[in-house]
Amino acid sequence: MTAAQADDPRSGTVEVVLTGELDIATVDEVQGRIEAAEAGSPPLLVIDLSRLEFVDSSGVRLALLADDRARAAGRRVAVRLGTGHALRVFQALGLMDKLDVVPLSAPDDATVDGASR
Amino acid sequence: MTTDLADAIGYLPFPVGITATADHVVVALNTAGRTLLGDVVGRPVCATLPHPDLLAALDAAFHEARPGSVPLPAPPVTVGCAPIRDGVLLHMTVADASGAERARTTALQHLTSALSGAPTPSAIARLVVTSAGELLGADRAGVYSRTGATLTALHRTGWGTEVAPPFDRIPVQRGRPLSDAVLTGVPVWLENAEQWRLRYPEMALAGTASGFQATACLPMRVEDRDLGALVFSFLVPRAFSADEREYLTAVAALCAQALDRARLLVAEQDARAGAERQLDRTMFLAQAGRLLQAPMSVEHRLRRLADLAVPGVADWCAVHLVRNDRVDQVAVAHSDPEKVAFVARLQERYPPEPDADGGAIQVSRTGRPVLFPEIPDELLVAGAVDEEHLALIRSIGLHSAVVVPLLVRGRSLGALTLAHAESGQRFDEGDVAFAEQLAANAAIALDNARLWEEQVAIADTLQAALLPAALPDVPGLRLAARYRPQSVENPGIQVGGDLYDVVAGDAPGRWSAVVADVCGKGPHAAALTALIRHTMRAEIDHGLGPVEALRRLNRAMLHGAGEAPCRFATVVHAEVTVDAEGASVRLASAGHPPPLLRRGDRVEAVTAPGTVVGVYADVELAEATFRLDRGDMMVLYTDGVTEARSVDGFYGTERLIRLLRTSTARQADEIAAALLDDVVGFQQGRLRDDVAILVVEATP
Repeated sequence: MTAAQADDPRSGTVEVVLTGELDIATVDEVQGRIEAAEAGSPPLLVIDLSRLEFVDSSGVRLALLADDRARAAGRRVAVRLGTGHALRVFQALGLMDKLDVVPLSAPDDATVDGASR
Repeated sequence: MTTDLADAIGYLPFPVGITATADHVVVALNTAGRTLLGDVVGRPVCATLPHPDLLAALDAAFHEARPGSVPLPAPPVTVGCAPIRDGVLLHMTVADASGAERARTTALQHLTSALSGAPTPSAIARLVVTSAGELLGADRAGVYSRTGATLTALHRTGWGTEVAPPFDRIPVQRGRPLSDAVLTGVPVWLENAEQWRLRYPEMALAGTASGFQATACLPMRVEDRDLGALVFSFLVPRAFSADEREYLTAVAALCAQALDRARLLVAEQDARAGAERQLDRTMFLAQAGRLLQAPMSVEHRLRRLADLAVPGVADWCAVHLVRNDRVDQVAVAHSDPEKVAFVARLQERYPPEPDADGGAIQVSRTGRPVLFPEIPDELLVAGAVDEEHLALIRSIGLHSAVVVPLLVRGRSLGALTLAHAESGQRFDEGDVAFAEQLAANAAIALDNARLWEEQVAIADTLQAALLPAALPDVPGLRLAARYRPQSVENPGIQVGGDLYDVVAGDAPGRWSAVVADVCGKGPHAAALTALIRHTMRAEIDHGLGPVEALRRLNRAMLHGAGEAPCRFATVVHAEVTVDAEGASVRLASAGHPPPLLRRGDRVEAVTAPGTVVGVYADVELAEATFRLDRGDMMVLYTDGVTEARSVDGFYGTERLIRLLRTSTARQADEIAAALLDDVVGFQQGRLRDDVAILVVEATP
């Protein structure tokens, strides 16, 4: 499991890109990374799950919790699910309409804004 | 004539002497000669100047009346031998100073380069003794290193074997030339026996024993490091010229530097060896730490730990545990299984004496470590029951042992024993510290392991409480369920979040089948699983349909979610109403993996999209309705099936469908069994997640 953070100083968007396996064994570490990314109160925090080989329910909960905190704080959290495992998991759980899902393309303001609801 | 000559030579400004007889005994020596050789009148000149060339020249002059001249290296003189009546006239010319100077310079150069290649203190000492001793013609030479108040010979020559041992180690004692040189840092030069008597009256007898005359003692120092001293002794008196003193001082300095280098090298090697040993031990502790965290039973861990310790840390390793009022040996390890078996047989025949001093049992009880740097034979004798027992114990060959308690929170849980036998190694205080560190890790892990075993027991109990003891008998339906918790080798042994249940509905022939999967593990998940089970039972009892029951469940979960937000669950709820042709089913799914229908050799997935429960106030849920004809099966399962992984990837829905379609199983129970087998086999028996399976079959 790796978590890399990329900041876009123009828009203030912060993106945390996760790779590897997000499960009960790695979720605490990633939770720490997400909280670190939230520390600067970015207007938009994108959690990129599209490169994960595996995500279990504890990984899903991580995204739900981040979304929950963002709503409470008036920020936005979006997830990038890609086309693989993460997408299948979130679809099966009926969460596609519940979360802010951004498309796979590189994050530029237009696409992110265009995808937001 | 000789007397005349003797009178005559007395006035000569250079050393002249006369020898008589075939033994070349000195019969006359002028003042310059006495200064050079000392008072040697009456002794054979070859005793003073023992040189084969000189003897040959003297013989030639005496017997054949042939004059000759012999240059000697030490003292650096050229001795002319002129035949006279009844004897030989010796006229000595102090060697060309510049020639001797060159010789010394060359010798120093050679010595310097040779010392640079000398690896050990004794090699350095040998080089110095050989090089300087030969150049000076010393009859004795030695290099002593100093350790505290003792000077130890690194190399010496000329003492003769019979007196060697007493001079290998000599105490540093003021008032002795070598000691004074060491203590003051100033060379001591004694040019003849007279100087011995004047400066060291008490030592003179010993110092000039065996005819020794001159001695030079040179301290060896590098900066403030006192490395010892050099000593060169001569059977002839000799004036140490300023050049010679300078040369010897240079030799002592070279020797000191070389010894200092060698000593640093040795210290560095020792430090490196120590560091490597420490590193090995640190790595061992890390390895042991990982091992002790592995979720295994207490005894299994301790056996693995003992195995890990041999033979790297000790030849033998044993672990004892306190259990109630007994102390049991739970692990014994040696790299040779034969020896382990031997000890097992021995202990079976002679059960260990609980009160044995320093034994593991005693240490387990007292909590105090015991070190045996050496295991004395008396201890074996004391511990032996009879002669045969003693012989057997001796045959194990234990040399050294350390026994440390396994302490947790001040309580001794047992003891760890490390012992050396055939390796011949010895334990010291440092090993006690290491063993205690290892034992502390083991004890904490042991404590954790006990907690872990308790947790497993609690989890099993709780899990059982969350699942139905037995499925009900339902007329018209065959029900089968399987539940398998994730493998205990996986971290986080906790109550699983999977649930299945079958409960009677509000009308005759109406039953509800529920399968749920709660996010996460542990107490929160268990509480939520219990909440789901009881809520669903209540709502079903109230006659709510699948969608409405799930909505109520969602509200109940949100209501109680304060402590652990977003802890969601996937739930599938199938309301099955049995009729004459089979059963009709209304089904709703809150984000649960799709139920599969097996109709003969066809398998289809039920589409009932829905949102997980427990997170959002509004959940989208859709009801699916379908029939189960006689012989049809509905297979409900948790994602422990489809998300199961192996090196080949995910188990997946497709494999599940293929299995249901191709399985030769004829009934619900056979299908449930086949499916569980396939999933477990797919993961080589190691389940990463719980698996729950519920099969509802309309009785054919």
